[in-house]
Amino acid sequence: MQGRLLIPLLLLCLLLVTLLSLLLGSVHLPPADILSAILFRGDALASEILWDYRLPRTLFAILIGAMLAMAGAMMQTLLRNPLADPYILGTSGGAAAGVLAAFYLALPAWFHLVAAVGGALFSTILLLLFSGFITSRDTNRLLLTGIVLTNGWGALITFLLTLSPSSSLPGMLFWLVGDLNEQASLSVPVLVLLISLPPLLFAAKPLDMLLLGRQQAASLGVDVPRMHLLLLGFAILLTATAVAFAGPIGFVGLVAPHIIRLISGSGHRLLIPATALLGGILLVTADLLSRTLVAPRMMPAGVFMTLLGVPLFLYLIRRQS
Amino acid sequence: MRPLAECNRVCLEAGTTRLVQELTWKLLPGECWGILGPNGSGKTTLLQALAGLHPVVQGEIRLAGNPVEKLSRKAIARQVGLLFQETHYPFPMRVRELVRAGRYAWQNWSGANSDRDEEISTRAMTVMHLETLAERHVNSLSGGERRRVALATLLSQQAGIQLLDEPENHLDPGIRVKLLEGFIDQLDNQKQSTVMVLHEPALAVRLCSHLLLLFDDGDYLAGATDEVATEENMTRLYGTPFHAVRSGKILLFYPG
Repeated sequence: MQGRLLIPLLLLCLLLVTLLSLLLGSVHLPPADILSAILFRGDALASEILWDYRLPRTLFAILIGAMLAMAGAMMQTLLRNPLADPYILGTSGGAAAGVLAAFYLALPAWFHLVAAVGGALFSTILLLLFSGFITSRDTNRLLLTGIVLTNGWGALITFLLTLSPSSSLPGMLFWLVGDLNEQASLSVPVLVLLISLPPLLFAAKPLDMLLLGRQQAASLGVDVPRMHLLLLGFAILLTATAVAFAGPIGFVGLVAPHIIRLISGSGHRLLIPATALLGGILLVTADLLSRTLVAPRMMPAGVFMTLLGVPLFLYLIRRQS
Repeated sequence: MRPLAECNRVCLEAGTTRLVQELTWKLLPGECWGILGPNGSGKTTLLQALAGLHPVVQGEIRLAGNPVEKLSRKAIARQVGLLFQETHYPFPMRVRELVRAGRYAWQNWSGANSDRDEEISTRAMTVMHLETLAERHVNSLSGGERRRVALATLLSQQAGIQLLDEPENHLDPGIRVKLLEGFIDQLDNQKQSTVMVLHEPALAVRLCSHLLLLFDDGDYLAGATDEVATEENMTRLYGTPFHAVRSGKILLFYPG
């Protein structure tokens, strides 16, 4: 499919799920009240729910979904492997352990992001060192290293949770499975997304060529180390930001790029913006389901994302071998 | 004439294995060199070193007079193109896109394709008989078809030096010589030249004006094909007795 068709289509879908996300929720509001709330802040209750809860939450889900999806696409290009994903390879786990350590040490909220970047960076360096990224392109070794790291971070997280006072446990646990309920300000995620998009789009062509392999790309004139640094830097920044704000939500980075590649190929000029849009759509949908299916209870959005991602991942493994 | 590439007392290693020792060699425009040697003698490593993809332990490689390690990747890619032994594509990519990727080194920061880029890559596809495969995904092609795509990409790169690592891989015996001759015919003898690693001495004799023999012990022998392609040299090169038979322009070597 051509880009000029795909992007408008995705924008339309995003608009649609955004509207649904504003209309539906654990509190039933008649559409008329919502309309009046949107237009002239009519009904007080509807206004409050809409402007203070549903709209920020929806925008937040769009941003987090877009960041995770882009991070997934970056990792896949970096490692030349469609199975790569920050959640599966331990990057999210590293970020999560960092954030929980900051929680535990009662560090200020702004430090959560720093801790997430630190954890993600550390985990990714371990991944690259032990998966033999420099010398081998063995998928099994990559995935095994990722699994081991993910487990290691999981153990560290359990350790931190056990030490934490029981009063803060429910919040930590909900954050851990991907919680969009306690969204902080939108400005940092917006900023990170705005910083990431231009350089990645700018490098779309050399990124395409990276898919041919390191040596081949270099022989065609691509500055490979610079491109790797770009991908690694932004994959870590995007993952860490998403995790610091919404917890480690899995599989957006696997599902969204996979679907876009099926539709329009691997060209990054289209892949990056389209993946970001689809990531937003997916997470808003997952969040909507989590708010409505078991209402008035709420489920973390990460649960639905994982339920969608696991079968796809299994299918991809089967097809690769 | 100014050499396209020069090696001055170049020593190469792979891991801890010593390969070529003190190689001094020049590549002039219009020449076609065949590199022959037993497995592990450093043929591929030498090609990669010429493309700036493998470090030189000692000595110096110059491209059009400039030390290769001082050049940017794009500058190297305008002077040297490399056909790899094997290619592997984990993501779907169309033949047309891949051949066009050969133009990258000539494009500005925006990476936009000009009409000229389009023309050159279309022509390269025609030479390699890929017109009907242009919109196919490379993953869906046969080994031989992929080889032709890689050769077309190299043609559209329009580098001064074409380095071919076992170009005959996957190509049918029937079209092997024709396809490679077609490739060489496309080059501009005033500005371009070819260096290819081959396993078959007969193919090297047929295609190449010059031969570079890399012996097991790091020693080498370079010269015009007629002078170098002898029973004696092949016997020393492969460590087993070789005999030659001539039939018209064809010179065949066989062991035993």
